[in-house]
Amino acid sequence: VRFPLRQGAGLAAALALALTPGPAAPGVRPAHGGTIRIGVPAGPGAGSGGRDALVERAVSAPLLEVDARGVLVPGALSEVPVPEAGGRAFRLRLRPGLVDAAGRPLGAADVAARLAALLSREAPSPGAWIALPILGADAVSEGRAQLLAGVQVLSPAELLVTLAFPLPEFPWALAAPPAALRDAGPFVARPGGSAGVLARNDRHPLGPAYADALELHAVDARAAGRRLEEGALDLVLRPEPAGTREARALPALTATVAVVNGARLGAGAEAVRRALRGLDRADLARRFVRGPAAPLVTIVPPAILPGAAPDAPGAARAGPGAPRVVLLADGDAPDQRALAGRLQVKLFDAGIRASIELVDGPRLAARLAGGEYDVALASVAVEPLRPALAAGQLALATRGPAAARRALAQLAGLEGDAALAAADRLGRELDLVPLVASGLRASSGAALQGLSPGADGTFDPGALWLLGGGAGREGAR
Amino acid sequence: VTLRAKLSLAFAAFAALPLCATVWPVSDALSRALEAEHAARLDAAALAIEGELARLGEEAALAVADLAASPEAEAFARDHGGAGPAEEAARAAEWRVARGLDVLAVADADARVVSSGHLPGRAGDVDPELAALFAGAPQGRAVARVISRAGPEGVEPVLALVAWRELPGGPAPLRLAGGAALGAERAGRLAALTGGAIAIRSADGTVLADAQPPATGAGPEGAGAAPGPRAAPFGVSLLGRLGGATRELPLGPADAPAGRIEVAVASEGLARARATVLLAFLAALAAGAAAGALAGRLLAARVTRPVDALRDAAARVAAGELEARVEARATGEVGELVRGWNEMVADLARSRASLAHAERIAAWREVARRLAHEIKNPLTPIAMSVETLRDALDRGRPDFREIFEEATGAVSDEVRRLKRIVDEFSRFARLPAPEKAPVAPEELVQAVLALFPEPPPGVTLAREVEPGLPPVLADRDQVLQVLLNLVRNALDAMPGGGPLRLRAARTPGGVAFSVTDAGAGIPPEDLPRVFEPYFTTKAGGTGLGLAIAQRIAEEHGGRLEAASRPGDGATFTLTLPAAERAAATSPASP
Repeated sequence: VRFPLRQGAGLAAALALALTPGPAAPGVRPAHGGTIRIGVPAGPGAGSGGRDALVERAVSAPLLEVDARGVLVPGALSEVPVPEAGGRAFRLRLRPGLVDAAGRPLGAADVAARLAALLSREAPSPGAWIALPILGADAVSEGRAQLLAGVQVLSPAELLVTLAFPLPEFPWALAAPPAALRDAGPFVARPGGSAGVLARNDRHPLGPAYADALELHAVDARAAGRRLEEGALDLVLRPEPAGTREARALPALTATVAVVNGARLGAGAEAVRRALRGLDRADLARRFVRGPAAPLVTIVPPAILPGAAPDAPGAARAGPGAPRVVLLADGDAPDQRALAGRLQVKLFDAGIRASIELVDGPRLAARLAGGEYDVALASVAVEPLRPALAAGQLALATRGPAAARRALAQLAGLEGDAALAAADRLGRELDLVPLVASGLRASSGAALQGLSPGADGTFDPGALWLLGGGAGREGAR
Repeated sequence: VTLRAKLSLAFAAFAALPLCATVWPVSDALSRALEAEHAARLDAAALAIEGELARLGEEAALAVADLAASPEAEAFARDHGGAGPAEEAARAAEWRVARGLDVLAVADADARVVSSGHLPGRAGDVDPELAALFAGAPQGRAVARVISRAGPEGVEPVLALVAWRELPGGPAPLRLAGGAALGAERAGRLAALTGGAIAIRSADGTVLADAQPPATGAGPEGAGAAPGPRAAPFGVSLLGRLGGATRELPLGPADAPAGRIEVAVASEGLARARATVLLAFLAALAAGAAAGALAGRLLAARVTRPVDALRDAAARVAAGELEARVEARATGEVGELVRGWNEMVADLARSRASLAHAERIAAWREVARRLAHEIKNPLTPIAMSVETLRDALDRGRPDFREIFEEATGAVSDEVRRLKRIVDEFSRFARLPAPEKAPVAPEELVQAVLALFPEPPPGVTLAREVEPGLPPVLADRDQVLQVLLNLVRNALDAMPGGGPLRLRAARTPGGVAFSVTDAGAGIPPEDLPRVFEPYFTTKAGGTGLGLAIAQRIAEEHGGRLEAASRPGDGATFTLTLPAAERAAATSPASP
C-alpha cells in the first residue's frame, strides 16, 4: 500500500503475460482494428490506481516475459540472462532495433536509467524491489548517486548487473512491469488525449497489437454488467462477475496482511497477534472478499507459493489488560473495509476492543511508513513471478526497503516447502499476519477475442481483438 | 460569661424563637407543593417518551415489513447461496442506509448472519442477540433489545427497538431484522422533546447513551437537571434537590427488561425557589437575633453599669486602695447597694487607720518594755558595785583597791552589755540595704568555717559543698553575718559537743545553705516563733538575731527556714537566688 498498487497492479499483472496471440473463436482469424473498451473498478483508489497501472503496462515493453509454459522468454532483451559470478551478476543484452513510440532508439543506458529511477527519492516507485538487490542501491535511494554502481553499461546493447547478494530470481524480476521500457509497449498514449485512451503503437518491438485503440473506463459493479450487456464495454475487470456471460477468475495475487505495530501496542501486542492468527482465513476469503480469493498460508499468495490452508484455532479470550486497538484500513478499498469489520468483530470476541479508522491509500502508506498505527491492513498486488520476489514486494510495501532486501535474501532460490517455511518465518519476523489473497474476474463481451490465459492465468491486452475488427461499432475503424 | 452577655443572648433568643418555630412548617409546605409540581413535569416527560418510543417502534416494524416485501429482498432470498457470500454480506449495509434504519441484518433461521448492516463483520457467525430476538419476539412487532453494533469506538452495545420478518421466496428461510437504535442522537431528540436529561441504560445499568436538554437561554433552569457533573446552585446544594429527581421507563418484558430510559426534568428552578424562601427566613432569623442581641446589650449596659462600677471598686479595695468609691448613678435597690458599699469602704478605711495607730503605739510599748527589761538587768549589778565601793571607801577598808578593781570591772562588764544591747536594737532598726554581687557559695562556706579554726571541744564541723554550684547574688558581709549567726546558734545548742554540718546544695533557681546541729531541737510550739523579733530561749539573748537573719534573707530575694524535731537537732536553711536567675528576673540588680 505504499504505492497505488492494489487492484490496478493486479490488472497490470493480469495483463502482463502471454503476449502471444491467444486462440480465437474456432475457425475465425484474428482481426485488426477497432477499439477495445475495458471497464475497471471505480473509486478514488481502485479506479485511478488500476487505470494508471494498466496504462503503464500497456505502454511499456517488458524486458522479459513469461510464456504459456511458465518459462521466461526474451522480451526487449534478446535472451534470458544467465547467472554469473555465483549468481551475483547478470549480463543483459538488448534486442537490436529497439525504438520507442516516437522512433527514438532505446539502448542499455535506458535500461540502466530505468533501474535507477525505481529507487528515486523524489518519486518512490512500487517497483523499487527490483533494483534493491543491485549493488549501490542504497547510494541511489539516499540520493548520493544518480546511477547504480552495480549496473555497468558495456555497450549500447549490453549491460552488466551486479547484485549485492545472490538472487537467482533476478531475471524474473526483469519481467515485472516496473522494469519495462516506457513508451515502447503495444499501445501509446494519444497526444493530448485522455489518460485512459491509448492508441496502437506500430513500432512495438514484438509486433503491433490487433486493436487500434484501448479505452479504460472506471465503472461500478452495477454499471459494469449493464454496459457489458449493452456492448458499451468489451471487457470488465472487477472482483464480481459482470453481465450474464461466465466470468473468468484471475489469479488471486493481491495479498492482504495485518501489520502489527508491536512497539506501539507493547505488552498487549501478543494478545492481538494471537487473535489475528486465530482467524479462520478460509472464512475470511469466502465471506469478506468479493472477488476470487484464497486464504493466505504465508505472506506469499498461494498462486505463487501453494501450501496447505492454515488451521483456524480460534483465539483465546484476552485478559483484562487487553489493549484497545485502532484498525487502520483503506477506506477506498471495499474488501479492506469488509475485512476490517470482520477483524473488529473477532477481536471483540477475543476481548480486545478495536475501532476502525479509514483513510485513503496514500495516507495509509504514510501512516505505515511513520509507524502511526496499531494494526493496519495492507493489500499488496504482487507480480506472479517467484516467491522471493513476491515476499520482497510485500515487505517493501509494509516494512520498507531494508525489510524488502531481507525478504529477497531469505527466500532467494527457495521453492516448495523450504520457501513456505522461510516465508512463514519471515512473516513472523516482520510482524505480519497473513489474511487473504484476492484477485479479479474478467467478464468479456461477445465480440472480444484473444482472452487466453498465460501459464499463471493472466492475459495480454496486446493479444485482444474484436470480431470483425469491431466493424459496425461506434468508434471502430 | 458576663451578666451583660447573658442578657444579650437572652434577648436574641427571644427574638429568634418565633421565627425558628415557623421555618419548618413553611419549608415543609413549600417542599410538598414544589415536589408535586416536579412530579407532574416528570409524568409529562415520561408520557412523551413513551409516545416517541411507540412511534419509533411502529416505524421500525413498518420499515422492516416493507423491506421484507420488496422485490430486492425477494431476489436476495431467492438467490441466496447463488451469489457469493461476500456479495450477500455487503447487501444489508446498502439496505440499512437506503431504508434509514440503524439496525439491519439478514440471518437464517438459526440466527447465523448472512448479512449485517450494523455489524458487517458478524457475517457467518450465529448472533445470539438475533437468536434471542427470533425466539422471544413475535414477528412484525418492535421490541427493545440490546444490539451490538460497530461504532466509532469499536463494537458497542446499543438499545434498539427491533422487529423481524421472514423473507419470502427463498429456498432456505431467511429472516430480516431491523430497527431503530436508541443512541446518542435519539437520546438528544428525547431530551429536546421532554426538556429533560435522558440516560439510556442497559439492564445492568450501564449507560448506553445520554443527552442533556438543549439550552434555552433562560438560565440554568433550561440547562437541564440531569444527574451529572454539573455543580448545583448554592441554595440547591445546601438544601438538596427535590425528591424523585428522575423517572425510569423499563423497556422490554416487565420481568426481564432489556434496558431502561431515565429522564430527569430540571428541578433546580423549583428547588431554587424553595431555597430562596428558606434563605429569606434564615436571613430574617439572623437579623432578628442580631437586633435582639443589640437591644439586649444596650439595655444590659444600662442595668449593669452600677454593678460593673461596684465590681471595679471592689477590685481596687482588694488591692488596698481604700479611698476607692463607686460614682455610678443608680436608683432603687442598686442605688442603695452603691451607697451602702461606699459607706462600708469608708468605715473600713477609718478602722484600718485606727488599727495602724494602735499597732504603732503597741510596738513602741513593746520596744520600751524590752529596752527597760534589758537595761534594768545590768543596772542592778552596777548599782550594787557602786554601793560596795562607797561602803568600802567609807570604812577605809584596806582591801579597797581589790574591791575597787572588782567593782569597776563589774560596772564595765555591764556597761558593755548595755552597749551591745543598744547596738543590736540599733542594727535591727537601721539594717543597711544589701550591696549584692555574685559570690561563689564555696567562698561563703569557706569564709564561715575560717572563723572556727579550732571548733569548741566535742564539736565536729562537717563541710558539704556540691561541686559546680552557680554563684549567688548576695551582699557578702550580710550573708556571712547570717551564716555566722546560724553556726553560733548551732554551737550554743550543743553545749556538750556534737556534729555540726554546713552544706551548700543546688535548688531550682538558686543555692541552699543549711546548718544542722545535733542539739535538743526546738519545741514544736516555739518553731513558728523563732523568727519573731525579741523571741529567744537563750538566757541573755535579745531575740533579734534570727529576726535580722530572716530580714537579710528576704532582702536578698531568698528565704530562711527552720526545721526541727525535738531531741533530733535543728536545721536552718538559707536559700539565695543564683546570680544569673536573679539578674534575669531583676534587671536592675547589680
